[in-house]
Amino acid sequence: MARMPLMRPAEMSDSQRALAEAIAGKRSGVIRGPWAQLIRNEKLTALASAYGDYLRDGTSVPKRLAMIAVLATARHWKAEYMWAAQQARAKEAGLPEPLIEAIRTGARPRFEDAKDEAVYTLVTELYRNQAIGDATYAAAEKALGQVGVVELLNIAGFYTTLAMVISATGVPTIDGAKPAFAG
Amino acid sequence: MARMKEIKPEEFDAPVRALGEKIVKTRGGTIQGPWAHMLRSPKLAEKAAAYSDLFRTELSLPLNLVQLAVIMASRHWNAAYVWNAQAPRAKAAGVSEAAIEAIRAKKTPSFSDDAERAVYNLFSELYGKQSVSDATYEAAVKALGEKGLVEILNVAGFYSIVASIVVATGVAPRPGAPMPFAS
Repeated sequence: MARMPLMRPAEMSDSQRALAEAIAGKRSGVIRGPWAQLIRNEKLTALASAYGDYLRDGTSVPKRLAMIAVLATARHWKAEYMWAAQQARAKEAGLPEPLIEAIRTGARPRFEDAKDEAVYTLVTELYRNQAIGDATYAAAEKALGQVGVVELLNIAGFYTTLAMVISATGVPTIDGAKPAFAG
Repeated sequence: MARMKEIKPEEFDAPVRALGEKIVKTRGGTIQGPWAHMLRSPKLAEKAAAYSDLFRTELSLPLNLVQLAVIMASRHWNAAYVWNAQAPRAKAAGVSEAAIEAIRAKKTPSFSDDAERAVYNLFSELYGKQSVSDATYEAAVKALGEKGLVEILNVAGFYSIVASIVVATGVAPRPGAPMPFAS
């Protein structure tokens, strides 16, 4: 069933369109995906975008570790659009193909890097158990530091917000992307 | 195990403490709990606060629905500290005591308000199955509108961030406060 249509520039007010263009400038040219749903509330979109930009570019969390959290989040919420949209960034950040593939299927990845493992375990344990074991917390703090743990949880949760928008409102995946979580 | 120590207000540098005091003015008035952790990354805290401040003033949704989403997020993530802070606000916003108690006990509440039922079903399905059925989506859009639906997903997502910080870093209910989820 078609759910919520993405807002198109022609349907936006002048101020919505200006905001959409400002956001799109930083994200691949056209406002798309969950941002084309958020734009229904302009003030919320503007501040969500500022928060999201900081989480993407301003924190102490290394890109590679942030991308592990983002992909695990897309996988948990079955957010096809997010998975497709984040592939290029994940590769740029240096995530090995087998790790990406294991996150996609949900099989326990074989880790080459203890920090990768600490972040993956933190996020997936949170999603699965809504609780974090002592050893998992200790490994995360060792990998990221205390500031980094707080920042990483913000990253995972911010992408959770976008993933819930994608799943609930039926944001379609990127044209030509094959389904990552079907079946 | 003690996890991340909450930085006390007087331990922050003056500008961060001033920022923290501004942030908590509408959030219970004391720098503590998840915001004490957020303030380890001051710019992040500032952006997260600016975004979530809008939940009070800029949403098209009635407050009972906002608070229902908040307590469901805190229940799902087992964040007792957040529950203790937010359950009284849910009651004050008009969510019935019976519904609050049922959510706490992980039972299905009965609602007299169709919009509350729609919100409850939306988040039960999202948290339980990471997907939303067509019927539940339709009821949610009918109750909230497209804009309101996107808004409430933002509320739930943000409180998922707060809750995950509470759970991962070990923010406990304050001394003397109830342990709402003790089994």
